[in-house]
Amino acid sequence: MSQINNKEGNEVNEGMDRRDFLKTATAVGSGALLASCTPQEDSRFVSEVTSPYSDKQPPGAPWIFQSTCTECPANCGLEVKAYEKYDGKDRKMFPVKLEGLQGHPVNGADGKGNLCMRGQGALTRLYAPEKSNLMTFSLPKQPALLDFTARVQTPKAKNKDGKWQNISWEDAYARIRTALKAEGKKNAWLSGRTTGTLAGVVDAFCKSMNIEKTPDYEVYSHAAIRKANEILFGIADVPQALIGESDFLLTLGADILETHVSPISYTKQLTERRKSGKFSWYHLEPHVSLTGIRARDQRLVIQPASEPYLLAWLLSQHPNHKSLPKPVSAAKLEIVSQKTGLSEELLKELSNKLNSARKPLLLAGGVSTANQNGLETALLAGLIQWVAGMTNDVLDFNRTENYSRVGSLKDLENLSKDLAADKVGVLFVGWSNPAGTAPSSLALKENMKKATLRVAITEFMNDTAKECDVVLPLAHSLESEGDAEPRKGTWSRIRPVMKPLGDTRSAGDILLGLQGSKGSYSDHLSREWKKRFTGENAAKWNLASGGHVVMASARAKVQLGNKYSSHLKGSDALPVLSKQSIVVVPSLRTFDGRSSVLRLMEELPDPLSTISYGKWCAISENVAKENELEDRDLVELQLNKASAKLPIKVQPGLPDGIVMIQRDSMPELPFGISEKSGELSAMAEPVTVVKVGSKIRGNHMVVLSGSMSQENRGIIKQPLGTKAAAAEIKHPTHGKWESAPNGFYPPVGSEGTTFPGGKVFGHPHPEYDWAMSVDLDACTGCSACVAACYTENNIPMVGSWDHWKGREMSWLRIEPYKGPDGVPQFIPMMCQQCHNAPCEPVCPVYATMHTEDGLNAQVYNRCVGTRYCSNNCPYKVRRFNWWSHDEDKWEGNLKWAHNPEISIRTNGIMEKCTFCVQRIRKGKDHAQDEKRLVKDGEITPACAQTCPTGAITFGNLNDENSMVHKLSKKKKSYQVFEELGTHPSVFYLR
Amino acid sequence: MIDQKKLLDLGLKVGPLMGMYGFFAFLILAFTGYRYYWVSAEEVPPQPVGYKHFLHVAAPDGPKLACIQCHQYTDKSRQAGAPPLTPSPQWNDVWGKEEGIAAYAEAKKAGKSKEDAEIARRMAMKSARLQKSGPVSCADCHGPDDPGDLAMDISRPGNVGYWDKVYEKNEKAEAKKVVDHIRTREPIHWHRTHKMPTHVYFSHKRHIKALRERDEIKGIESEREQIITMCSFCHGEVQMMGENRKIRSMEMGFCISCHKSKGAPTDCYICHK
Repeated sequence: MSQINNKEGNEVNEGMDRRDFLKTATAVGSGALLASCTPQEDSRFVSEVTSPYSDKQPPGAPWIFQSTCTECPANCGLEVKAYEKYDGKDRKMFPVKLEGLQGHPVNGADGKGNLCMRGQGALTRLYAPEKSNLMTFSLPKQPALLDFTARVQTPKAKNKDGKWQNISWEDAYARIRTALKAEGKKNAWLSGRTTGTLAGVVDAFCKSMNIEKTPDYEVYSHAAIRKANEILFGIADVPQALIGESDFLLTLGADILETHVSPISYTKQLTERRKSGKFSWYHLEPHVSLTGIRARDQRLVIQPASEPYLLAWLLSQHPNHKSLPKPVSAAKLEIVSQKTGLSEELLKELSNKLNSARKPLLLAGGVSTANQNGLETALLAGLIQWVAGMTNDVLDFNRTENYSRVGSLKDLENLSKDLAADKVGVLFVGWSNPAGTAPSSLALKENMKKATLRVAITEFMNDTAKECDVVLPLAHSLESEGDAEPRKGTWSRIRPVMKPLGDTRSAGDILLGLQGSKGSYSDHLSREWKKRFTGENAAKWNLASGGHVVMASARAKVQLGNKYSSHLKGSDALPVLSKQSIVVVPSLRTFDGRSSVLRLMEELPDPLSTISYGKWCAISENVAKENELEDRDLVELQLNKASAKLPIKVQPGLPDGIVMIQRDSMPELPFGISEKSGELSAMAEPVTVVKVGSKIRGNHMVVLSGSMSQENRGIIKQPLGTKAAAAEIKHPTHGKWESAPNGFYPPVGSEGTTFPGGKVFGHPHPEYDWAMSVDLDACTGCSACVAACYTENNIPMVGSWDHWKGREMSWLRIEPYKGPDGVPQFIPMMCQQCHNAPCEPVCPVYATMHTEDGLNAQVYNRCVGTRYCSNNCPYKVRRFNWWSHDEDKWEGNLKWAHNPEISIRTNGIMEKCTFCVQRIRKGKDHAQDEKRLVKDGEITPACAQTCPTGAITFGNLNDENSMVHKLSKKKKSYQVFEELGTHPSVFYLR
Repeated sequence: MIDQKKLLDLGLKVGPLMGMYGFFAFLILAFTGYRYYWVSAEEVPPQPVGYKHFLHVAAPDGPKLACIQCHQYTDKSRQAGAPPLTPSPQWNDVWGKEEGIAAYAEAKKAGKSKEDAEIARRMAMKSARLQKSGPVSCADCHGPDDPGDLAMDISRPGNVGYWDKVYEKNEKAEAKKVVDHIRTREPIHWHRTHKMPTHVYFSHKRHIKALRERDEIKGIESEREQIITMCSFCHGEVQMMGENRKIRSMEMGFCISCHKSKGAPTDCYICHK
C-alpha cells in the first residue's frame, strides 16, 4: 500500500520545472520543423506471379477475414478489414478495422455483428509500439492509467546486471530446458483463462515436462458463483444466461452491459427483449454504473453486502420455497428493509414481480458477490433460481460460460505460499499479469523472486514480465492461428490475418517448441479439428461459412443437492457494510486492467466521469459539498489498515458515503480475498476521505466535461408524457419547424428542398439527404461508437496534455448530463450536418461547404485554419489539429492501422464527423454499378455498425420508406438546439 | 551637357518598360522553376524491366493488345492493376472453355495420349483467350508455350534444357529479364508513374463506366480503340510511348476542367476524402 502512496504522492505533487519546460520547448520546436510534404499513395505496384485478385476481390479493395476477439474472455466473433500496404520491401496485409462477425453465436446471433469499445480498440494492442515513448508532441511525464507498457517483439532475458537483453528463441528454449532438468523443486505453470485446443496443449505440456498446473488465473473469476453452483448443483461453472427468453430480469450488482461475462451478448439480448414489449428489469447496486443507469427507473440502490438479507427474504416469499430439501431462514421484513435500505413497498413489489413473472431471471454477480457475503449471495441467488425454475429454463447449465478451468484467488495464494517456502523451481506465467493485478496481500510479486527461473509468455512487458528472467513474446491473435471455446460447445476460429510484426510466436507454437516437437501448432490444430468437427460441423468450421460451430447437445436436467444448508448457517444475521465503504468496480475501458495497454483506451473518456487520462476515486455530490471538495482535489482514503492517495471526481448519481474506484485506478487491491469463496474482495469499510493537498495538475487527471448540467438547454429532452418532461422549459419552437428562424440562408424558391413542416431551403438535394437518428432510450453510453469512430477515421491520439487544453480530437463523444433524478443520462454528440450550418458562412476560404447529399463537407486541403467555424458551431463538434499527426509522427507500428480510405490530416486543419463519407462513397459506387439508388440500410457508418443496442440509424431522408425518415417523423423525435434554426440532420429520439 | 528633362522623359518611357521586362523575366523564371520542380518531383526511377508499351499495343507486328487486357481491373475497381506474371486459373472459367473441350476431343480422336490431349486443351484455351482479347499475363507470350508447364516444370530441377528454349524464344534483353522473373517466381515491383495524393479518391471504374455511356466513345466501333481512347484522356497516347511517362501534372485544375466540360459532378466530397 505504501508503494501506491509514494508513487502517487510524488507524481501528483510535482510541478513542471525549468528543465522539463526547455525539453518540451525543444521537442515542440523541432517537431514543427519536421512538417513533411503531402503524403502519397504507396509508390509501387506489383506484377504478382499468380494474381491473388479476382473480380470479387480486385486490387485496392479491402480484404475481409473472420476471426475471434481475444481482448476479454467473452471471445466475440470478429470481422477483420485489412488492406495491402507497401512496407518498403513488399506488399503486406495490415488489418485496419475490426467489426463484429455477423451470425457469430456470441455477438452476432441476430445477424448484426457488434463489438464493445475494447474490441474496437484491440488494434492498438496489435500495433503497440515496442518502445514506450509517448507521442512525439506529448510532453514528458504524462501519467498513464497503468504504467505504460511496451509490446515485446523478441525473446528477452535478464543478464547478470539485471538488464534486458535480446536472445534467440533457441537460446531461450535451451535456458528453460536446462532449468527444468534441475531436481529437488517442483515446477509450476500459471496462465490466464485458456480454452479450446490450446487448453489441451497446455495440459499435455505440463504432463510431459512434469510441471504442476495451477488453475487458470482471472481477476474476475466469478469464483463465488462457481463455488455456489458446485455446492448446489455440482457444476462449478457460470451458467449461460438467456436474457432474451426471460420476461422479468433482476440483476444484483452484475454489470451485464459493461464487463460481466459476455457484455455484448447481454446488451443485444436485452435490447431485443425490451423492444418486444412485456419485459421489466430491476437492477440493484451499491454504487452507480452504466448498467444501473440503463435500467433507469428500476435502478435501486442497496446497502453494500446486504444482498443475502434481500435474497433470503425473496426466497421465503416465493410460493415454491417449501420444495427445498432443507429450509432457509430469513429475517423479518422490517429488518430486511432496514439492512438493505430498500423500503418495504419496494421489497414487496420486487417479490410480487418475481413470483408473478412467467419466466423470471435472477443474476447476481459483479460487486454483489465480490465482498465478505459473496458466497451467501451467490448461494441464495442459486436457490431462488432453483425454486423459480430458472435453472432448467433461462439458465443453461449445459452450455456454460466455460470458466471450469479457472481457479480462484485461493489457488494463487497457495502458489504464492509454495513460492515463499522455496518449493518452486521454474515458474511459467502465461498471458496474464498476476503480479500486477492480484491483491497485494498475496505478496506474489515478492515471493516470485524465490523461484529459480521465472518465464513469462506475454505480449507486453507488464508488471509480471518485469519480475521474470526470460520473456517469450506472444504473437497477437491476429497474427496467429488458433481457436477459442467461449462457451461449452461453442467454438470460434482464430485466423491469422497478417505475418507477425516482430519475432513473436503463438502460445501453441511456444509450448510445442519447448517440448521439442517438430510439427507446428497449425498442423496440430488441423489434426485436432479433423477429429473434433465431423459431418455438418466440419462444413461450418470452414472459413467460408464463418468458422464457428455450436455443437448440438441434449440439455441435462439440473438437480439440487442438500449440502448448502451448512454454508448458509447464520445467513440471516450477517454483518453488512456501512454506507461509508469503498467499492472497487470493473472498468469499462480496461476490464481488469488488461486493456490499459491499449493506447486508445487512455484517449477515450470514461463515459460516467468523462475522465480520459489519469486515476481517480469518485465521491457523491453531497459528500463533496459537505467537505468542500472539488474535482481534482487530492485526498487520502483512510481505512483500518491501508490508505491511498487519489484525486477525486464528484460523481452525480453515486450514493452518499460510497467511494467508487475503478479497478485500473487501484491495480493491487489492499483488501485481500474473500475467505469463503476465494473471490476478490472489492469492498472495505469504514473509509474516511481527508483532503491532503491542493488540486493536482489538470493533465494528470483530465476531466473533459465542463459541466454535468444542461443549464436548461434541453440537450437531452425528458421522455414525453413524464413529469420531468412537463417541468422542462419549452423553447418556443420545439417540434415546430415552421416557426424556426431562417438562420443564415434565406429560403429559396422552387429549387430548394422541402423539410418536414414545409419549409424550403437553399440547398437542393435531388437524390440523397443523409440523416441519422439516435435513440436515447436505447443508448447505454458504452462508448463503442466512439472507439469505432477513432479507428475508422484515423483520428489521432493526442495525449493528456492536449486533452487538458481542451484539444481532444474525438469526432463523436458521449456527453453525460445530470437527469432530473441526479443520475447521469447520455447523449452521443457528433457533427449534426446542419442544413443551415453556422460554420459555413464564416469560413473565409469556403473550406466547409454543403454537398448535394446534404452533408456538411470539410475540405481539408482548402482549410487554412482560421477556426472561425469551430467558434461559430453551437454543438462544439469541430476539432482542430494543433499538431501534425501524419504517418511519420505515429509511433512505430501504429501507422499501419491507418485506414487508407481517409486522408491523414496535417496541422492547422479543422476536422469533424463526416457521417463516414468513405462508406457513403462506397455504397453509392456499388449502387451506381447497378444503376439504382442506394437502398435503405446499405450504408452503415462505423458508429451505427458497432452500436450493440442498434440505437443509431442512418439513411436517406429523401426516401419516405427509409427507417430514418420514419423515425424522424415520430412524436418523440427532436433535434438539439432546433430553436437556433440550424436544421440539423441528426434526430434524437427520447 | 545632359538634358535633365530628356533624361526624365526617357526614364518615364523606359521605367515602365523595364517593369514590364522584369515582370516577364520573372514569369519566365517562375515558369522554368516550376517546370524544373515538376520534372524532378515527378521523375520516375528506372523500372526493373524496360517494358515498351508501343511494342505491345501499337506496333504493326506486335500483339496489338488493348490496355484492359493487361490492366484488367480498369473497369472493375478503383485501381487498374498490373498484369500477373503467369495466367490466373480463374480465367479458365470465363475464357475459352468450349475451345478447350473441342481441342481435347479432337486430340483424342487423332489417337493422342491423355496427357497430350490435356496439353492441346490448355493451348487451345490460351489462344482463345488471346484472340478474344481476354486478360493476359507475361508468360502467355514470354513463357513456355504450354501454360500448364508453368505450374509443373519450374520446380523440376532435372529439366535442364527447359528454360533454354524459353530464353531462346525471347530475343531481346528486356524480354529475357521477364523470363528471369517467371522462372524464379519473383514478382516485378514496378514504380508507379501516376501517383495520387492520399487525400484524393479516384476510381478507374467510375470513369470508364461513365465514359462508355458517352456518344463520342459509343461512336468508335472497335472495343479496343474505345478503351485506348478513354485511357488517353488522362494518360496520353501511351500506345506510342516506349517506357511509360507522365504527360500531365494530374493536378486538381485538370480534373475540374474535364469534370466541368463533361458535366460530371464537382462536389468536393466526390474526390476529396
